[in-house]
Amino acid sequence: MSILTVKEVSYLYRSKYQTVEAVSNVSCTFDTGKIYAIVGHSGSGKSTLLSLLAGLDLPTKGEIYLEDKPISTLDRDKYRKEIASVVYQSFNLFPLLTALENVTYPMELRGVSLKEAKETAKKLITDVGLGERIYNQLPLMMSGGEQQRVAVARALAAGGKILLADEPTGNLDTANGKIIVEILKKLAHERGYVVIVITHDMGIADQTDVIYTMNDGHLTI
Amino acid sequence: MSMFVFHTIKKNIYKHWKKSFLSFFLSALIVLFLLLYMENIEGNKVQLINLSDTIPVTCGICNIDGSQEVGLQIDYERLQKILDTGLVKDEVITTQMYTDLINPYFERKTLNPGINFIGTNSLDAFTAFSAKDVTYIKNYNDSFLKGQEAVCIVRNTFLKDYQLNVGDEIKLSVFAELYKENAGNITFTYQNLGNVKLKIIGSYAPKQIGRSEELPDIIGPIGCSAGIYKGTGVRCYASSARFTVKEPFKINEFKSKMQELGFKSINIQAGFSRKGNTLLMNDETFIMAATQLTESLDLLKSLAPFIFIIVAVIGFISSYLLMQSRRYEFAIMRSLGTGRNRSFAIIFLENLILVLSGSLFGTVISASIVNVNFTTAGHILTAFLFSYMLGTAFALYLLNKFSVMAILSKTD
Repeated sequence: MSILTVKEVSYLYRSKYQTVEAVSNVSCTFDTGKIYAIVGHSGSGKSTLLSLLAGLDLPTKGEIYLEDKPISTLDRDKYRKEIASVVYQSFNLFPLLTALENVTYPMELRGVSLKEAKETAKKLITDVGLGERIYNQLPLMMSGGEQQRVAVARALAAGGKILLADEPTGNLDTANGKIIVEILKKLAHERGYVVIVITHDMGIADQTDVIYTMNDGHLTI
Repeated sequence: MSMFVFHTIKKNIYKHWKKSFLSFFLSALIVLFLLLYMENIEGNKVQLINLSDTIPVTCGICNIDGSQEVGLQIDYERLQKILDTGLVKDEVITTQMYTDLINPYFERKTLNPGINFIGTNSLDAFTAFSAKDVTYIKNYNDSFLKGQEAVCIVRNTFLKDYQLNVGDEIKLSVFAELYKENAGNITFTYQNLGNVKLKIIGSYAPKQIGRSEELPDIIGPIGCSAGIYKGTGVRCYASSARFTVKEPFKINEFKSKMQELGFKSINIQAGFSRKGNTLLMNDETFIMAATQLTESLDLLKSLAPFIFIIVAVIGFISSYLLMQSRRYEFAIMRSLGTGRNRSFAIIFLENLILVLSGSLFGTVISASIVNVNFTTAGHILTAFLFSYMLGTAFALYLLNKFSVMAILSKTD
């Protein structure tokens, strides 16, 4: 079933000197239980589309629907808090919080008690294949692969069903990259998430269910 | 939700302990400076209030050319009106009469009485000796001058000359010395006021040589000496009068009141006279000091708005610089669904807690250095918090204006 529908969406970057149409009249759908790849060269508009899907910005034209409700009418902070989560190429963990504190953050934000949040966080950290020793480590002390898996655990802690990943394996070696992709596939196929992966790596794209191609702001399947 | 905010703030303060300490220390330092500044103002205010005690404004009656302040002819009734205005205090007044000692064995009258008898309300009227140079009989002291009892103290040489002792009663024939001016000629006449009996209750030994007004033979209470005039039909005159202005800050009111009572300003060209109808004010030092203090106070107070503007600017700059490096952290918070307003509130409250605790610490430190008035300190703290947090709020507002994707993708 389509959880996200993009309808004739365009986005313009406006500066004092010029206007750039990063996303041009894009229409597509995303269903639960599937993993999608959006591929394209650098500057094609992939990350811009991702930020629109994440509710970090609103389209200049067109609309994105979450189960028939326009995202522009929703509380976008609540949308990111409870529905859509983002995993980044550079992990973007809180540098001064431990792995456990990073994962409990979204749950505490939703009002979950600290005790319950810690228990759930430990479970999520285990789900992404990490052990107890990681709980009290700061990101600086973790490897790239470990950091990305903690980032995925944090994304899952939001409790939503949409996971957006912007070049999640970009800073990882092949082995760790494979692990992350496997985790993402499992989330889609076994837990019913809709997973959207931005990548320029066709090797990763080939492992997904649907590949969209972005080219100069236009999307094709 | 408030537990989340509180917990996040606690975590932030702990995790960013160096920046937290800097904020704390900076606000303590600013509050210390502000309280010292306020103490300076309060100190000046107290000095100004106490200025009339520190630098009293004294004035005296003198003659028209200002050459004489004793041995004058000052209308006693007019003098009493000055005292009745309530504008003066610590008055020192003398009346001067001349007497002849009546021998108990025979009466003797004279046209030129040689014994100088001064009535006064205070031994401060005399410069040639002081209260500690007076020896009293039992149960008597300087306070006798405030009453009307028929007692007196005499100069020690007077006792010797007239073979008298302290404790003896003397009978005096009292004369008022009247002064008349007529076409530049000055004449003195002596008007008999009758006889009076006085008990000698003490004697004094002068330490300096001086005029007869300063070294009288007999000193009695002014109430007693002024009383001698009653019923005689002779106008009572004081020979000297000086006092302290009660409220020097109302000196103009005092001067105009004296003018109303007929007292003039000094006129050097006027020529010599023994009439005591002129006021001599010693107010220059007070006026200069009061003017300086007032100007200093006005300057300090005028700086207050600028100081608090500077505090706001410091709040802005320090908050901006300390928080700038945490923009990445704010972007992560926003991407996880912490709204713009909530993330602003968290960081603002975090700063408020640090600044408030720093300012309380600064208050404690300044209380150990200077005398802090806690009401004033409360006002200063409130003004400081308002100004500083206004600057902080503006800094956070600017820092909160960013594109989350731009910051989080920049690290890619």
